[in-house]
Amino acid sequence: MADSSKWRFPEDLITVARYDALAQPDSGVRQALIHVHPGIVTFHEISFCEDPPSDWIRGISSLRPHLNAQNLRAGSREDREFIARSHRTRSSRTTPLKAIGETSRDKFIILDLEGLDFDVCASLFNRSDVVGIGCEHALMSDAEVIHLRCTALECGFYFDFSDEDAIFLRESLLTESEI
Amino acid sequence: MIVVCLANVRSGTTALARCFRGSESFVNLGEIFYNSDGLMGHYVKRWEAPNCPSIDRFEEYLEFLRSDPNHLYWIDIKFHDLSRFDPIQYGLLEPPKLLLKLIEYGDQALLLDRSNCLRGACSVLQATATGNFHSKGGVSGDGSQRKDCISRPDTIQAVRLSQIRKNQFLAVERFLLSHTNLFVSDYESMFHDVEGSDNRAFLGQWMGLEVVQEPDLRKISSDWPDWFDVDLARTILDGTGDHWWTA
Repeated sequence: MADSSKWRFPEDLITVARYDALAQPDSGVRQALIHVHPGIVTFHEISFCEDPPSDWIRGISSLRPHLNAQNLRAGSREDREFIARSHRTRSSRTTPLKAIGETSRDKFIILDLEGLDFDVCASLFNRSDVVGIGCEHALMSDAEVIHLRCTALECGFYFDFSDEDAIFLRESLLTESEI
Repeated sequence: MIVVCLANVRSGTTALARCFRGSESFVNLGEIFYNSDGLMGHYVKRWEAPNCPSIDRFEEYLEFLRSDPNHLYWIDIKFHDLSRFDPIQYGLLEPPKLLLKLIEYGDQALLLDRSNCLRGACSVLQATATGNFHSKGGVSGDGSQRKDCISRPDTIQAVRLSQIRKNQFLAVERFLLSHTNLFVSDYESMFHDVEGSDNRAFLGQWMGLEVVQEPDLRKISSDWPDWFDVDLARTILDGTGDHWWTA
């Protein structure tokens, strides 16, 4: 098995570096879809199969092309409540995430969607090839957090929430002591 | 005279109404929209007829009750019945027609909450499981028989239901803001708080009743059901404003 140190994300992706541990090759993850710049909904795909991440495959997508997600960036609880109220009523076309990356290969997906984490994340739980999801700066209301955790548990995901970030990992990937 | 009690199921409306039955003027009409599957009951059970009566007939009925100056009629309306007169079930996104009418009528309205929504949700699931409440048989949400052991799916279902109940109450409360004769209270303040007796007496005074009896607390549970996984619920609610529910 390859040395996991070879599998680090590039330095310009420091915002996602804390998810390294979950995306180790021995965790069974073969691909990760990573969103790097807040507000610019662009995904990069990285292969964890054999080589270090020098062979980036750039997949570009836009979950909600007409929505300026950057404007939704905010940190206070009031702002989060506003975001939760606002984006729920928007009906916008979503690019199917299954179009990104190779289907049926395990993926760890990192989202930084500025208030859109809740519904996108919830839609990913039912995909069999998603083994982990990281939500950066997860801007969710309390109600959304609770519902997302419920959905995660029902779909077999373990979760860990910090002040801003959230990680969901398929329970089958956890060791017995971690569960 | 009429007092309309608006609440979610398992919010203590029946227990509360029983506290006032010592007053001669008090008449508990109960859940007038409750479907008891054709069982015999009070004449107002006509509202249970399969063909939904019109809002005009309901208005006539309330007018008939108001014409009796010697009695106070207690009407129990559950949130899920508020959309009864709407052509499409809007849920609670739009003010239901019945709620708008109640605001227009201006009769005394009591909005009763269950401030601990999780306990209310557990009570609903427990009552459903034991078959003494609305549905028959101890069947869980997944179709399996509910057992007296810890159940993760049932616990998650309870947390989800608690959120739904909470949102329903907030929506109804928001719609009722313009009601000019509204009394808002909750189950806990009526039955669990040390000031419960005073709170019930104050409510009775507001309704103009002279006698307020002690509730039958033997039927009020303060424990979590056997199937409820408190640790799992704590994990789900951790860090949110609702975490205190499992404290």
